[in-house]
Amino acid sequence: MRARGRRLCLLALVLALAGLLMPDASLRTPPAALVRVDSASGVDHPREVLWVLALGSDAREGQPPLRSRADAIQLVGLNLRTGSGTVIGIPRDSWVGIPGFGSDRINAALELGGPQLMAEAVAGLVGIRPDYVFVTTFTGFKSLVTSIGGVTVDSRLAFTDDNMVGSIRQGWNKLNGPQALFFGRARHFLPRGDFDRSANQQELLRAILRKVRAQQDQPGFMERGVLSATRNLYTDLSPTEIYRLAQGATRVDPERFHGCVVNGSYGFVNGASIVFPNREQARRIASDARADAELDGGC
Amino acid sequence: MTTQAEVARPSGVAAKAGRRYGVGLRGARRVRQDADVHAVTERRYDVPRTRRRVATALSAGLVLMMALSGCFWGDSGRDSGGASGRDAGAGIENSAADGGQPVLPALALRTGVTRVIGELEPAARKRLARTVDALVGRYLKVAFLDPRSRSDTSDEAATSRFPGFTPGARAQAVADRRLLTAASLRDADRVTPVLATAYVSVVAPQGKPVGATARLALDLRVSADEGNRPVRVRVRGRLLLTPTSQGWRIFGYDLAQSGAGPEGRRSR
Repeated sequence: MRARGRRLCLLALVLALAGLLMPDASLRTPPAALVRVDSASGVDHPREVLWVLALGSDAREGQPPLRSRADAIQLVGLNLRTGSGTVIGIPRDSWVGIPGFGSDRINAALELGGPQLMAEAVAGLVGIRPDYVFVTTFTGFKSLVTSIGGVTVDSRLAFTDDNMVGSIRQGWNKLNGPQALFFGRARHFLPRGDFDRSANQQELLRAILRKVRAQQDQPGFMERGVLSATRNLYTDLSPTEIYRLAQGATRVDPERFHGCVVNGSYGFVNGASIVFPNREQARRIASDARADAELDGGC
Repeated sequence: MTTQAEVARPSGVAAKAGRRYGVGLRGARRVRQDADVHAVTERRYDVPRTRRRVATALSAGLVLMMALSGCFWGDSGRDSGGASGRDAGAGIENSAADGGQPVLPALALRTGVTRVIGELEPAARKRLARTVDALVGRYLKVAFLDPRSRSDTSDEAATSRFPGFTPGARAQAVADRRLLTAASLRDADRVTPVLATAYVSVVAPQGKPVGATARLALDLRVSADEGNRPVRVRVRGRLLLTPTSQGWRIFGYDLAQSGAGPEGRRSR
């Protein structure tokens, strides 16, 4: 009993000393903290909503990229104010009217009349005229992905291809330049062929955006990318315009960057396999996203 | 050898029936055709340590002098809120001394061009550093240190808080003024800058700077009245700059503001 009393007295003494000697909580630096961080971003660009026609040219070494067929056709809408984006994929074999050349596969427009005619052909199908046309080759695309240290894509499907070397597993895949090119080109073993491939290209765009945004805070990262663009792009934009465009494009949040692929049905014209695009769907998507690059009604 | 990627801007003029698309690459300038060469010239410049030490010493001396002058000479005309003394001498009170234009405190902003992507002559680098110092310094003073940025947060007043911004960036910044100015510090008696740096990465193809990013770090000591402990507010992020016909301007921003709670004895 007495021992217990002594222990209680000792405890009381320790507590009293602690109370006297320890500084008041308000005077100490807490060992941990939880604070709110709010952020804001904005970029001034002459256009609030930009539409960029992104083309993958299938030009081989020595061939002019601007006068070769387009292997990938993606119409990208970027809302620099809200940070949202929309991408509309167009199957390359879509049978459309090409101004001055009758009807043909849409990818022939680049070969027949360069970026301008390609923009007109896309506008004729979808109803949105792009502000810029971006053309890259297989080599250029691989270099782009390599320069940002590869990308990570979320694949809906596992697939390989009988024409190209590569394999993709379902779910997340970390890809280097050549692997990313495979992901964007392979179609033979995809259930919906060109339609699935177009969706994969959209996932690639999303992955590139994710990667660039993750690194844009690194000192010099954006500047390195812009310098590389001025050296490797065939362009009529001034370097300052490229810089502002690049800074604006990275405002778009990958989680708010949604894509649709224009559907259609396979058919034959003069013995050649083509796609009859669903024009009504293409127009509906474009009508939904034209003003704000947001897909309110889905695909 | 072929160019591996291209960007074309439709060059036609918007017409009623739709824009006419000129050949996007008409007049295009082929900068370089070797796409395999992605290596870029990059130079990094550290802020000289000795210079930093001298600057730190000078700043400390200046702050000490101002603090002492504040203690000895008092500040009865301004300190109506009950706060005692003048912390570091750099803070400014909610009510201006003459009831009119408050005098903004000197801001010891440390700037420097620390990364050059491309080529830039030393003289041009120094010019750019001076330009950024003036541009960013003026914005920080007007947006965070001017007491009016706390007392008058109306739309109309906010438009004047962003000197050096392009019109489009200013319009967006006005909407984001809670984070881009001291508008959220309405109850503060005194706002004192304790850290202000803006280090710059610039891209300069062919020797001409075409765009730059200033990495901003601003720490403010915010004091309220009635002896409350001052709190530290931190602003971090990027200011995007580009040359325009009116000189360099801030055309974009990506800033975060956080309150780190009461300042403690060991807090930095």
